[in-house]
Amino acid sequence: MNVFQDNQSCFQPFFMPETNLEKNPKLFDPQEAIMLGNLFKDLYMTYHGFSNYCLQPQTKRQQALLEVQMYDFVAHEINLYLDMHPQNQRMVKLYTEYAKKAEEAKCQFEKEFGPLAVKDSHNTIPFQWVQGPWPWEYQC
Amino acid sequence: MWAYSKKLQYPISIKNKDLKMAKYIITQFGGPNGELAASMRYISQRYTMPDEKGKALLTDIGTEELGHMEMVSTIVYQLTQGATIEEIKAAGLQGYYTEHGCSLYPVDANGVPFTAAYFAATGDPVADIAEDMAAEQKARAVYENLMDQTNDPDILAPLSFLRQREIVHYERFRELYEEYVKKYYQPDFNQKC
Repeated sequence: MNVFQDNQSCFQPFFMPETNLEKNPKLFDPQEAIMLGNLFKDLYMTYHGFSNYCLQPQTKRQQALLEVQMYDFVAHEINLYLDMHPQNQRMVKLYTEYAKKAEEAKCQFEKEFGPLAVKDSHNTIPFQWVQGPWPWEYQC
Repeated sequence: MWAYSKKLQYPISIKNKDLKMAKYIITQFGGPNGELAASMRYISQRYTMPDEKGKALLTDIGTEELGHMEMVSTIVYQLTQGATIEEIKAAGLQGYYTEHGCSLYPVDANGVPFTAAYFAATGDPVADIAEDMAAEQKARAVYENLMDQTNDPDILAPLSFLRQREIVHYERFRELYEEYVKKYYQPDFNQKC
């Protein structure tokens, strides 16, 4: 896409043609999407062949967290899409579907490894939220 | 209101120390095209967006950028874990170490501290969204410059993820920009405040 199209007169604001792509975007699988950082096949753009990194969780904790990250990511991508296309029925349906999967993955993770949100802490001593690891710590 | 979730948007676990890369990557925390500037830019601009789409998009992308700031900080933190004074000297990080120790402080690759002058909020939706599109492209370019400088897949994977996010954000801003140009790019729009 070239925003510096020279077939437009100088003072005319730039418009892109309305495309059908927006009506029905082609999507990557959740596994691919989190790996690539992009849910939308038409927007995906590699750099020097980079961008294909396998995510290989080393621990059960990392595996369970990746499930949450994956469904959260897909739901978030659809959220951004819906901000601009709030009338798209298929995407609204997909959003609720993935938000539900993200919620389930979160509950699964929290059951075994503690709260991701402070309000999900249980009535235990010491207070669960205070326990690490924190997201920036290597073992996380 | 924001609520913290105790996880990164994308997993990061870097095994090998690399202080030189840390010194450069920190610019995506505190540099002119970094994630701190991005989140502050969108979160500041959203109040004067003229429609619901603009308010929603800037809120949601601004929020994601806060998460990216955390990711970049995590990369820098892990790259500098267990650094010795000799390694800090060899990477030319004495100045940083003197002022900040091994903590995270928003600076660019040359050690220049963050400033709010890196972003604008004009109150004009066309001008603001045009800046946001440019900001996403500049951030993408910087991620590519960073990717050119390492072969470590532990570093490349999150950099590549973050680069890809700039591309998606750019597209969403572009869609908004087109709508705003059609609706609001008129000489008298700014008269009605």
